[in-house]
Amino acid sequence: MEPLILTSLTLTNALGLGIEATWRSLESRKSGLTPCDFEYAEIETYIGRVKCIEESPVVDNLIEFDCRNNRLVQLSLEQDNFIASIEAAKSRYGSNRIGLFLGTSTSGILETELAYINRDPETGSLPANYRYMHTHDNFATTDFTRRYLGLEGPALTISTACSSSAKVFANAYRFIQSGFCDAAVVGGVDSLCLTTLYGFSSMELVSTQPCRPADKDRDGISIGEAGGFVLLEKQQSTTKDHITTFMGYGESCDAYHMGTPHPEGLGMAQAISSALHSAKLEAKDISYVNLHGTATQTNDKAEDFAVSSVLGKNIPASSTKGWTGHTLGSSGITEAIISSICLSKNFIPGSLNTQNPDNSLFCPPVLDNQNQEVNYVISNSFGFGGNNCSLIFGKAS
Amino acid sequence: MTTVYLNGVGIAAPGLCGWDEAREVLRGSTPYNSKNIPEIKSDAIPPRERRRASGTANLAVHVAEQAVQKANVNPADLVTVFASFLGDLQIADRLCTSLTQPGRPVSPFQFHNSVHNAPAAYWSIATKSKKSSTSIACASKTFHAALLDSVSFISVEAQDVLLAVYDIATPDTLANHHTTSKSFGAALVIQQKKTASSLASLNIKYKYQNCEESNGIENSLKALIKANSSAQSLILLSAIAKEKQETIFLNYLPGSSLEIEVNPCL
Repeated sequence: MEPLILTSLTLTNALGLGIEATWRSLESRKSGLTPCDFEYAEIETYIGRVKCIEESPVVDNLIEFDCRNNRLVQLSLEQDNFIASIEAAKSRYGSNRIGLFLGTSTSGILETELAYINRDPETGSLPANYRYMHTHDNFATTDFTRRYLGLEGPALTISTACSSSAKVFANAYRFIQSGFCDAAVVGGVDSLCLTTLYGFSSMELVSTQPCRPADKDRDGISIGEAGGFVLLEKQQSTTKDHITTFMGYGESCDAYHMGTPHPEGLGMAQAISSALHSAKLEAKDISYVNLHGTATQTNDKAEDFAVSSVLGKNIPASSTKGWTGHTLGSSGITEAIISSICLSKNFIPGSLNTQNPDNSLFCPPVLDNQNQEVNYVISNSFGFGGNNCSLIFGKAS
Repeated sequence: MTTVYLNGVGIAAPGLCGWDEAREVLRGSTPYNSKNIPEIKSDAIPPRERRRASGTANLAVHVAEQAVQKANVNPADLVTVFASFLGDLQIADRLCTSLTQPGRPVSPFQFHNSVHNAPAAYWSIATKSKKSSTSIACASKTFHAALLDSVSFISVEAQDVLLAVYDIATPDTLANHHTTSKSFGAALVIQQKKTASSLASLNIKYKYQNCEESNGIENSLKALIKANSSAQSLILLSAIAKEKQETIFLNYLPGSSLEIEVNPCL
């Protein structure tokens, strides 16, 4: 692919509001996971909860969109001078020439869950103030973001479970190259809800402890919430300093099973290989792999097969989900932005919460934070149903 | 701007059971009979999985299978763009009901079937298709977004595409809050090259203004479009069925539209 540049980024998650909060937590190895205190969820687990969502309703002129997920959209957009960057981009390109591609897996389904809990006991009717279209609907997150930012270019929601907000990068690239828009905002937002807490629990994929990627005794995920956004532009379109380069992507399907990955990670390996090919890079060029690393037995093993087969057994790799939790539909963007941090700071985060590394893995994880030159990072996002996406980022050139 | 070829169509909706029947209705040769409800046969999904698969998964796979058969292609050679406004609200209804019960007994099947990309996942597993797959939503403009997405795969990645757009009727509890009252599914195999199965070539342009939408569709079908926004695909399919050169116009998001030049392959 022709590289695109990331000229503005913002990230909000359990580590705090804005990118600096994530960077400080990575550096100090301080996890954002806390015991689950989410209302109505009686599950013994740890979650990555964003503080102050409860006190932050959406703006008055968009109040019909008010729900946890859209509040997290708003909180995220308000950090890192992102809004100012978008205003400047609108002046440069025109608001109708900027596309918007967001990933979410559950959107505002929490509102529907709460509406059902508060049904009329006799008629079964949902409360009159329930608003499906502005909250639960798959496009509500993107619609709200579009209105909040005043964007008028092509837009859509991608909802492919945990690969959603990685695939948005590929979408933006295709739309820009097709001439449907000249720049794009990509990102994703997913927030805590009962569907995922109880859904993953029912599949016995949720740990009672803070998740331990690549640990011998790893026993499941910690669910987190996050919102992240990036402005993507063509290199030749701006003289602005850019932060990171989007170099390549690979997408594939396992074609194996709804709930578990291919045990040898064949689809994952295909995505990684395709990304290298797209970026015109070789395995030896890669400085670090930010793993999908959910801390389930099956994901980490399958991903290890894939990473070691394509990139070799000595590639520095780690998961950062011990910090943020698994932010599901927003894990792609969360980890893309973490990859950008690694490139900017020449930093490799050591796998957090990994107490006894699984030595059956071909590719042992980096355990301690490293300060070394980081030139190219691969970020993996592998979703339910075997939907795989690998992205490659490089330093600002 | 890329010329692409529509090489196979599948369709399942009241009165539109497969392309052969739908073509005659769209041309006006056969009267529309909305009482003729299609039997959804998703043969590609193994019987045991078919029972557990959701209504949207069965519908999507059913129309996708039809389109692939008409196009005479190997499904594993196609990138998939699956698109649904609502996803499966019947599952959401059952899942949210489970959440109100003691212990909140969500079942693993309910959960993994509830993801928006479950139909696409069933398709990829059934056809062993390992190519890129996406599942998108854009409210009432979902079909339009899917067309743009499909064209972008073809022009930028030189991939052939299977597009499927599908929505099922909203369950009762949610019907006051959103209404899709009839099921509709359509699938299009869109390829880079003309083949013996080609119905038409399409030149799709993205326009930076709204348009006066094409209105050449049979009156009897307008109620179906009102009942299910995925049926807006009939505006394009109607032009295909008539086998005449035509340019059609579809409004996308406010301030934008699609202009589609249709040239029949006869």
